[in-house]
Amino acid sequence: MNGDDRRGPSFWLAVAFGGYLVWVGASYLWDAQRENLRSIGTWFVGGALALDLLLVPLAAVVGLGLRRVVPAWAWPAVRAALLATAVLAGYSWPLVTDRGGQPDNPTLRPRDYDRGLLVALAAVWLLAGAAALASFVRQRAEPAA
Amino acid sequence: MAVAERYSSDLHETRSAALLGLALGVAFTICFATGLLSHLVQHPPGWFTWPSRPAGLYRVTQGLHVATGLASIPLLVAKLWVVAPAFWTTPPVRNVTHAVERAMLFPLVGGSAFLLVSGTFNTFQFYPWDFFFTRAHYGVAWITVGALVVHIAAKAALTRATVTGRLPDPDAEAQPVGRELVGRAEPTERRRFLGGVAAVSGVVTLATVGQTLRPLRAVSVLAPRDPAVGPQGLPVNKTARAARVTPELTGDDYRLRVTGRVGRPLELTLAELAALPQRTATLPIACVEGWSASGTWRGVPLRDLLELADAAPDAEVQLESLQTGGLYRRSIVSATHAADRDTLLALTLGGEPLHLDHGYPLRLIGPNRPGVMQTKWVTEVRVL
Repeated sequence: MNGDDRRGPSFWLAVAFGGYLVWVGASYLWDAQRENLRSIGTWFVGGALALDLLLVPLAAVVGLGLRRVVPAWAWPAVRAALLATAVLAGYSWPLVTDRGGQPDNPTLRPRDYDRGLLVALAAVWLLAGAAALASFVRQRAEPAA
Repeated sequence: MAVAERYSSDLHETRSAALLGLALGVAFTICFATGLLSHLVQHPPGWFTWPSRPAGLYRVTQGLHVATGLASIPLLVAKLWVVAPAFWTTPPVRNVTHAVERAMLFPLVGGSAFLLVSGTFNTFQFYPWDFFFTRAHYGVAWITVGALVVHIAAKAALTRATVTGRLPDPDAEAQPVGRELVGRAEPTERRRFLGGVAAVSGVVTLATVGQTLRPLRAVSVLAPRDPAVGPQGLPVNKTARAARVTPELTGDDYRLRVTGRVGRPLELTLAELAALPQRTATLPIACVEGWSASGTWRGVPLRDLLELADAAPDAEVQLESLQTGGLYRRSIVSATHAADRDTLLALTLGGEPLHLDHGYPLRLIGPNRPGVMQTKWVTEVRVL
């Protein structure tokens, strides 16, 4: 199904305004960060490609694979726990691998993040287990359709 | 269409996309507004005045900026997964309108990823790139918001039809403008999916927000700061060592000079400063990186010092630090902030002399200011 592409003048006004804001940002970067445009571009383009060409297809493959083995009543909870695992692990990556930071400032990143990540993931999967169990019990209680 | 049909999950549907889009629209609007505000506070144009009250306002706006950004990471991932079949729509471009719409998705997705990743890494002070974070983050924010304006305009009719419950069946003849997804989820399935995504946002928030909401510090196991950890119970953004401020610079030779447009220039020793009337205020350090922590500060109100030096009552001042380099070695205190009785040149924190990392012998602490503008190791007050 393809959407109808007809648009009124308000859309084209928004295109003009949005385009202007894009220009504002781009010209700011041109003035303020001209020597670093390549680095900005790499992270900008890299971000789009990583999301569209890596993360989303990966999610699809993992989803298709796991759906065959995970029972339907557990799937919504497992899916949410997988998302949480991916986001928390991605977020914590520089913390657990000790990238960046200030060596002489112990108030920055003061926690044990290996432990923190394990605790957070354990909490996530416990919650997911409880939610899946609740869904299983509910399904058993309902008369089969 | 072939790819889209094979990539089949009921959740690749308009309603889930629209609801996630609404949530992201709200989150990004909060992020942009609070981020722009922080930029204006630090680089105020002539028309902009930032009040000194309420004292904790910046703590709230900047805490919200970081917390909302982090919470939107799972929303963005989920939204991209839901709309993925639309990326592979064939033909890739149908006409000019469709081309404009699709072209603007690139700055929207690339910009969103850039902002969320660079913002998160900045809170860790992890910089695996060459660009200067604050400027790049600011410039890319405008690009992303521009693309978002176009995207919202492109999907407004569809989203409206969705939230008002007037979305026709995907097989129906007449479809709202912009509809591309063919999935149709059962309400229960959709509720479980969106509920799961919301729960993940909640988990990310709980795991981090304790860096600014002190009661949650015990559960925020992944927060890059703990508001209770640091010398004198407060975190430090830049240590004395990193700022190259040594104990020799802050010894007996230390003087505070009050210069510029004053009737009576001053040069005060630490003992002379301590002998002036003091005032106590409980004020937060609120960092642009999203953490904040309150302390009880005691020192000389800046306005008393300005009065002593016979400066104009509406004077704006520039503070100079002993710190030799860096962007934040000086800061401007606007007339509004200089006139606030709680804007202090603090000598003590929690009843003890300041720790060197907190700006010993003298630091600025005032209500409603970003942490980077609470200049440490103050050695000169120049009236502008």
